[in-house]
Amino acid sequence: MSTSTGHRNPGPDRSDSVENPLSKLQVYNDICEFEDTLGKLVASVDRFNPDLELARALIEADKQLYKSLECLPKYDEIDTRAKTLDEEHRDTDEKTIRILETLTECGSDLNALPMLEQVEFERETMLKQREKVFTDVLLDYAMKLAKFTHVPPTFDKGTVGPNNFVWPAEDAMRRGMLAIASLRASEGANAQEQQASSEQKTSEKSSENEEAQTDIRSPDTKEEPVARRPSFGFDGSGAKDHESEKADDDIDLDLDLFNSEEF
Amino acid sequence: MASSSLSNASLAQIEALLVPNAQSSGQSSEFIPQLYYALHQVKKDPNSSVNSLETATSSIRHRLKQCKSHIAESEECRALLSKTPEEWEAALRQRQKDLAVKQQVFARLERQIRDLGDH
Repeated sequence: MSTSTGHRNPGPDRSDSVENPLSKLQVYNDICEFEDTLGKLVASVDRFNPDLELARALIEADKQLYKSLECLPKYDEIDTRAKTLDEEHRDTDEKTIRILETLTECGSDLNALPMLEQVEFERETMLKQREKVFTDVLLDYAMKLAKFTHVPPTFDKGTVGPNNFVWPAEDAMRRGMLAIASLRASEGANAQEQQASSEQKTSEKSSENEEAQTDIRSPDTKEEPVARRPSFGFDGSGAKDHESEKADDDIDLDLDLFNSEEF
Repeated sequence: MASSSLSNASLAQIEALLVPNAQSSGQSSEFIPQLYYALHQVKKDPNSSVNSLETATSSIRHRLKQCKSHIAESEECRALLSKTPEEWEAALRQRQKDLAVKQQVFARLERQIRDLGDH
C-alpha cells in the first residue's frame, strides 16, 4: 500500500522541462493535471488518508480534460479545412509557377523578335528609297519620251508662263546677257581705238594706196549693220555695233538654254 | 476501441485512448466510474494487496501516458493542438484571404492577356 511514494511527482513534471512546447497544448496540460491529481489521490488513499479535496480536484480535472476533448471534432473540422486550403494554396502556387515559366518563355521569345519601332523605321526607309527617282534616270526617260511625244493638244500654254518659272524669264536673261555683252563691247572698242591710233602713224604713207581699196570695201562693211537684227538698237558708232554683234553671236549660243516653245 | 468519427488519424488516436466509448459516453469520462469502483473495492477490503488503488488505476495512468507520448511524438497533432479553435479560425480566414488575393491576381492577369489578344 505504501509503495506509491515514488509517484508523488508523476511523469508530467519530469517531461515539462524537456518538452516545453507541449505546455502550450491545452489537452496535454489537462492530461498532465489529471495524471498529477490522480497520483496524489492514489497516494493519499494508499496511506489510508484519503483527501476529499484531491477527489474534487480530480473530478474538476476530469471535467476540464473532457471539455478539451470535446473540441476534438472542431479540431478535426479545422484540420480538414486547413488541408483543403493548403491543397488550394499548393495548386495555386503550382499554377503561378507554370504561368511565370510561360510568361518568361514568352518574354524571351518577344525579346528575340525585332522591335516594332525598328521594323517600322526600316520599312519607312525602304519606302522612301523606293520613292526616290535619280535625276539621270529621270532625264534619260524624259529624253526618250521627248522623241516621240509633244505637248497635248488640250494643254493651255497660257497657264504656264515665265512668271511661274523658278528661273528668270527668257527676256530678262537676254537683257542681262546683252548688258554684259555691251560692257565687253565698250572695253573692246576702247582697246581697238588705241590699237588703231598706233597703227595709224605707221601706215600714213601707204594710206593713199589703200584708200581706193577701202572705198571698194566700204559698201560691204556698211551693208553689215543693215543685215543686223533691227530689234537691238544701240546708240553708238558703227565699229561699236560691229563689236557688239560679235559678242551677240557668242551670247546667242549661250541663250539657247531654254526653248519656251517646248512648254 | 470504438469506431471514431474523426478523419484526422492523430485526433482519432487521442479520442480512442481517452474516450474509448465516445459514442455512448455522456459529459464525463469512464475514468471517474472506474475510480469509484476501485475505491469501492478498496473500501470493501482495505488490507487486500490485490485491491490496491495503485493497481486499479494503472490502466488509467497507462492510457494517459500513451496519449501524452502520442501527442509528443506526432508533429501534426502538436501543430494542430497548439492553437485554440478561435485562433485557428482567424488563421484560416487569413489563409482564405491570401488565396482570394492569388485568385484576383490570376483574374487580373487573365484579363490583361485577353485585352492584349483583342488588340
